[in-house]
Amino acid sequence: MTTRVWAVLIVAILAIAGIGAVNKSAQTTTIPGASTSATVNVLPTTRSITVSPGEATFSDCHRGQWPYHSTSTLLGQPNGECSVGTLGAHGKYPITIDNLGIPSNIEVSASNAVPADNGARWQLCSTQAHPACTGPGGAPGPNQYKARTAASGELNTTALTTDPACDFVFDANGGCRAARGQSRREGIKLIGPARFSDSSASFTITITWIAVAP
Amino acid sequence: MFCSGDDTSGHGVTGRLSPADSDYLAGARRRFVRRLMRATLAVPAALGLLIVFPSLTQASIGVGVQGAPVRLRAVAQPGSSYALPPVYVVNTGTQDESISMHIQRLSHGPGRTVPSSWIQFTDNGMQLPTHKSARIPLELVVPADAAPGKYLSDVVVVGSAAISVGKTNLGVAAATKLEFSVGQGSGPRLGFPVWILWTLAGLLLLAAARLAFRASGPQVRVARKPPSSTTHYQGGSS
Repeated sequence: MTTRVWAVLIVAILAIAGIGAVNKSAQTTTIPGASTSATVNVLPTTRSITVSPGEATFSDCHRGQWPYHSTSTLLGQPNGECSVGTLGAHGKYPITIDNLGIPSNIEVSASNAVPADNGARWQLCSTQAHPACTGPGGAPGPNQYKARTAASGELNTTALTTDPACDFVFDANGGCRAARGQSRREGIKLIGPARFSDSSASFTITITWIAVAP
Repeated sequence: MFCSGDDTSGHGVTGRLSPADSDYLAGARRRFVRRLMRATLAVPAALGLLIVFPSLTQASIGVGVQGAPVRLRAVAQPGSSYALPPVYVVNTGTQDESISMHIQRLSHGPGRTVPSSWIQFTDNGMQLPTHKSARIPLELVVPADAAPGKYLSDVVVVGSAAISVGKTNLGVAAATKLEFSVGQGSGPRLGFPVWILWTLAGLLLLAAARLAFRASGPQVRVARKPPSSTTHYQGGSS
């Protein structure tokens, strides 16, 4: 008899709990009055970026020493220099970066340089960040290189690192905040190693622009 | 005015036109000349536009990700897995792209960094045609020894296409925040409202008390004697 009473009591409590849950869910969906509602699904606002490389290659190469002095399109050593575009006040900056979406910070990073035979890579170094360039006067040491992005009128050049860093092209005040629809044209400057051990005829680097939340 | 030509049978046709026909032909000639001039001007104009705005002809790579952060509403428990809201990605470039995703701390703010091994991606490395979008599911796997607290990192979506400048590959990426909290490891929850759990706990306590009382407490036995129909009194007389 008493067991039955307890069972009934438990069932009653669970039933009350269920009713409470149903009422709670009903409260969130009930629309007061004689009205109807319709929901429209929308595309989410996006943070997006587009890069157009233009008609450009690494060129305008110079420096190096005989017999490895740079030619117009071939990087020499030690510390030969090449660029994408022609940098300077009246230069050409062929790469276009567009911030198509919501206002974002535009950051940029680069990879180590990978030789065609996938042998010894050139490490991306920096004068301000880790790893440091080991050559004299902050120049790249053996199997190191450094690079930066550049744009006309840019106050602070952006030294490239493997971790994303602010691309100062987008904000004259020293930041990298880009408004919706804002675009900039950039070039790249590369300084090669003091000497390199891999005998490949070409090395490939990857430069990535990234839009992040401000 | 005369005109000449061939009829459908191949015989030559020669005749004099009426003034109305002559006007019609003159108008048609003027319209033809105007169209020819338009076409002649349109081609150099289009070429000029392409020179002034070279981006119209350029291939581009682009990627977009939802601006709203990816959030887990519930507090995650150590040792449990959760399906995160799918992430919206879009190819904003002019070429088909390979879309890959990873977790990286890019945002500033309080919160522990999410270890990349905690997030598992479905369809990582998928191909996305130009101007197409997709929603990519994520799963959060919280290890049993996870430290409690708030976590913050970024879901980074990288778009890759076969575009290079000399020997420089150009890449694009877009990131959105990933936010969730990990609670104290108190075991799995059943998902009941708190008041139900309290009620059940009270009920169990009551039942336990009753059992304990029955097992150890003093028992009072109350017996009721059934009433008899007649009562006999015996009295003595002296």
